[in-house]
Amino acid sequence: MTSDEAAIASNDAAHAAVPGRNYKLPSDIDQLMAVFGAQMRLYSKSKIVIGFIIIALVIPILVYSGAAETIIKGAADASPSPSYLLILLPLFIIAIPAMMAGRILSSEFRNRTAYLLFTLPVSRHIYYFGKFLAAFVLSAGVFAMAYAFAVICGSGYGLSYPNDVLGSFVMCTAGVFALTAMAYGLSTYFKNGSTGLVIAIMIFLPFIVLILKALTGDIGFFNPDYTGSVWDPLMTLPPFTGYQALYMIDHGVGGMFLGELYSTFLGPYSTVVYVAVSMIWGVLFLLLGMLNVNKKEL
Amino acid sequence: MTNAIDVNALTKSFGSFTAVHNVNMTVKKGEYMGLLGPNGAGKSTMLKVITGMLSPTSGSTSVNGIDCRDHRRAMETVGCVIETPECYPNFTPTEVLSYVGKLRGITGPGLNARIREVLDEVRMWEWRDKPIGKFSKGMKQRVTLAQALMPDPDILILDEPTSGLDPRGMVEVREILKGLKRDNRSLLVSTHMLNEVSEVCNSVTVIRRGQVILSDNVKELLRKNTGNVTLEVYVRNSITQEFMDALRRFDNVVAAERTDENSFTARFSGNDDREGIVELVKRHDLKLFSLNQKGSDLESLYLSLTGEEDKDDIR
Ligand SMILES: Nc1ncnc2c1ncn2[C@@H]1O[C@H](COP(=O)(O)OP(=O)(O)OP(=O)(O)O)[C@@H](O)[C@H]1O
Ligand SMILES: [Mg+2]
Repeated sequence: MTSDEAAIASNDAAHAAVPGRNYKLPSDIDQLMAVFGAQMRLYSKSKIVIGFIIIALVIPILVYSGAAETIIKGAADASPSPSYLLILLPLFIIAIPAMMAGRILSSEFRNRTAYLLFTLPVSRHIYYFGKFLAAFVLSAGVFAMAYAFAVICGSGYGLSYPNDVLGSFVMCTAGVFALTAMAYGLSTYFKNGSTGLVIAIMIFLPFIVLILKALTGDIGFFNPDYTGSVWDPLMTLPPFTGYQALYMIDHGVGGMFLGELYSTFLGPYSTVVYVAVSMIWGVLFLLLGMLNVNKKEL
Repeated sequence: MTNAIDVNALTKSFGSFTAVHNVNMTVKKGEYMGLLGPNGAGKSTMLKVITGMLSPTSGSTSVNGIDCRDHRRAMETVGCVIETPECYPNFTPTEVLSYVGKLRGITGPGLNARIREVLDEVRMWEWRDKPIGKFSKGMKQRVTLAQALMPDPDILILDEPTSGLDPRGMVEVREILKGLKRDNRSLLVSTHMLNEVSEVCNSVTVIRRGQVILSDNVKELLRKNTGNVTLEVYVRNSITQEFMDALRRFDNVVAAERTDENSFTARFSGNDDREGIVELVKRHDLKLFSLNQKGSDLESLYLSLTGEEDKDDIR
């Protein structure tokens, strides 16, 4: 029994003497926090979400303890690098936001809970942003803890972090925002949510850009004199933030997923550019979803 | 005095199909209004426009004089249950009600006290800490009703509150509804069950194919339409064609039908001369087994208003 419930059970006196019913409609902010709180409570009851968070957090610890060391870093590099502790970042930065945000809104319509909530004296924007806020805070929180574990475990290796761990974390958080907003905004257009779609698009997009770069930039298809590639600006898009964030900790590991070819293209812009692109991307997808929720008929 | 609910020239179309056509309706403060109509009449559509789930194609609705387009303010003192909504299955009634309470500005110890009150009102207090996903349909329906009662609403809008329940569940919910009457509280309840209207409401609006065909006080309506009944008669031997012909010529009989070898129905418009029917049965050497009035007076009225083709919609 929680303290709330205990208070109810023992509160027959209060029950008998309820004051005059002059409930005042709370402010938008209070309602937003109520929606946020309810969504967090829903997350806390979801086994899949809890399982995924544990997996994400446990990787740095597994790597540190040596259990995963041979599997993950064995062949690639003989010398230990702290960024191995976050080796799955490029994958998780896509999967976790998509999992957290890709279904929470569409399921309200599919499971008819919206039929209850949307009749209450609460604007639809409040539900929309309250739930998004919960998805973002939870996703970003998972990465914050993964970074914290990685730093703590890494110092156990006796490793210092020569590169920009804080900058990497900021970029990671911006990427999480962009991808959470994308999954969330798109989910309003699909009955079963957007989780699978977002994961698929975001994982394949880097490969497509890579192929385009190889075909045009390196072969000189568009501009033989250009040392970079016309596709370089695409590297600032959110699906790349995971690789970029890893690269900022350790240049060698950032490109591991896509091979050496990829790593030579990482890091051509400043962190500010990546963060700005992610913010714009996120806001656009949020607006896209909001328009849809606004005009949705139940 | 402003009305509890005003519906002004409301039209709602889905593509080329018009579900609600130029409907006007008023629910006064303290009035218990039954919105009666067969399946697909447009009852839910009307209630959804009022509660902000749909936007009107034309016309307007208001609650306590506040235009429903200002959803937040209009719904402040309104509790609704529209089209069997669901609660989060992982939540308990306490969790759902405290969420709704917070959204409505009920906080602190008052919140806990209020949760207890409404759960008592719908007789779900002992289930307060069980996950709703495990509840029966009737229990879920009572939790959604409790949710609507949280703000001690001036206006309750309920869409088929007993649909999908077994007879016992229906009776229970109806008893709860009757217990919710308060001075100055108004109710708008949609249903296709006539006994629900006559048991719970004092006014009725009948809609069919998106149009209002009648709106009146329930008692007044019944008074004006006494005699508008259907009798159902069972006899012990076979009914003959001559008898049916004689029955059709009988005073005030507008329709007669042999439903079986041993039974027939006769619908009256105006005075139903039951003794005369018994005489007629005797004259044709039929042995009377039973004679009942079929359905309520309101049911017969409803049939004559909405036409026989909607008969199957009536329970
Ligand atoms: N979103 C929609 N799109 C298209 N048609 C709709 C939509 N919602 C309702 N309708 C149609 O509008 C008509 C009225 O529907 P409504 O749900 O209001 O009926 P109802 O009176 O509540 O009936 P029931 O007793 O079955 O609940 C029906 O013919 C239905 O098919
Ligand atoms: Mg309906």
